[in-house]
Amino acid sequence: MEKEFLEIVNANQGIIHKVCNIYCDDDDDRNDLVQEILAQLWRSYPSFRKEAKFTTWMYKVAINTAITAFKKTKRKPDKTRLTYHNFQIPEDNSSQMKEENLRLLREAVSKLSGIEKSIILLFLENKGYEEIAEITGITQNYVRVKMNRIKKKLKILITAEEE
Amino acid sequence: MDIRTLQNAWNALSASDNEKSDLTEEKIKQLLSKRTVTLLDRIDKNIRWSVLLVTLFIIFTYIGDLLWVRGNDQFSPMIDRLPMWLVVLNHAINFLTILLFVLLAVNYRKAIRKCDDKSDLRSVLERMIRILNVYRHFFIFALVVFMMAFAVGFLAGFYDGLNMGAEAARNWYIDMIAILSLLSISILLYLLLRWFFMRLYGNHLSKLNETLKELDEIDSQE
Repeated sequence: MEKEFLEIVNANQGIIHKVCNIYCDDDDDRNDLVQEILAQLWRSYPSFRKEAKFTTWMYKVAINTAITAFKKTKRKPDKTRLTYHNFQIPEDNSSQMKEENLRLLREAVSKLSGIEKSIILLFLENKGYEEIAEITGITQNYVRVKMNRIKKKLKILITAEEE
Repeated sequence: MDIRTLQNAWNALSASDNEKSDLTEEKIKQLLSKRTVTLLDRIDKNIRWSVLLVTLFIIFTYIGDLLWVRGNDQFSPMIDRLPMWLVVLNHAINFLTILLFVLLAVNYRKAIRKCDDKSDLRSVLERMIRILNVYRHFFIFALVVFMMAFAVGFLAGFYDGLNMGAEAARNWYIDMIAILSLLSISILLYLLLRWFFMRLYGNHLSKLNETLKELDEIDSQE
């Protein structure tokens, strides 16, 4: 079971990184959350019903862990900027624009609640409303309603940030 | 900046995440070996250790009290020099300690019994809030009891040092100084340790309660 678990988590580690990007402000928080998510995945793996999609289950566990994760209060928030350089993407002419967009995205998303972050994350990952509902435990209809509100909220936040 | 631009920014970030391979099987194994327990497990361990400490404290207190038996010439009859209200307070603290122990055990068992393995967000939140509340109530109650025990011990030394025992009981101002000292020390230490605990877990509990409230609002609108 351990071998199987390690293989499947390794193959889908992108999910962990994406969840940590949305929910964490800095490297320390990110490292802590990665460990917490892995611990929770390992603990819950025996109860994973193989008929369900593994990625759906993994998103559910990772997001629930991120929403309920304990963060130590820091005096000086050490925000590591999410930039393209951190991810070793080669620079091009539009990289400055892309960095700015990334910064705006990050600043706006950081102001959303835990549940709102989960919905926007899954939406940006091109998940359908049905899958978002399954992962978050909210009905499809309300996911649509919530998504519209989040888009409006993000628009206001980003406009304020741009000004 | 519209949602399409947001999507593009996210896609670029996401592409990089998909290419990440720093969580190799070896690395995952290494991380799991460092921490296989979750936050709830760690709090659970803290509660069990606290129960053990409370048990040891009760045993220690009663052994200590047995050694100070009135009329026992072999040991210092210190208890004879203490005012009656202090002796009564000492017994009350012993009783409170046992009560604390029993309350903790009962509440903890209730909280754990309600825990289930459901993985939906509401169940996870409620489970964590329940356990954290047990831990918080226990911590505050234990703090009050231990502060009083500490203050009583301090005052016993105070009266013993004054060597005024029975005379002190007739001088109301000595008792007033003793009571004010007891209150000041207890309140100060209580506020300090409570602040420390709330700084550590209080914000986290508030955040969890806010998220649960948001879920309740969603459920009420569905």
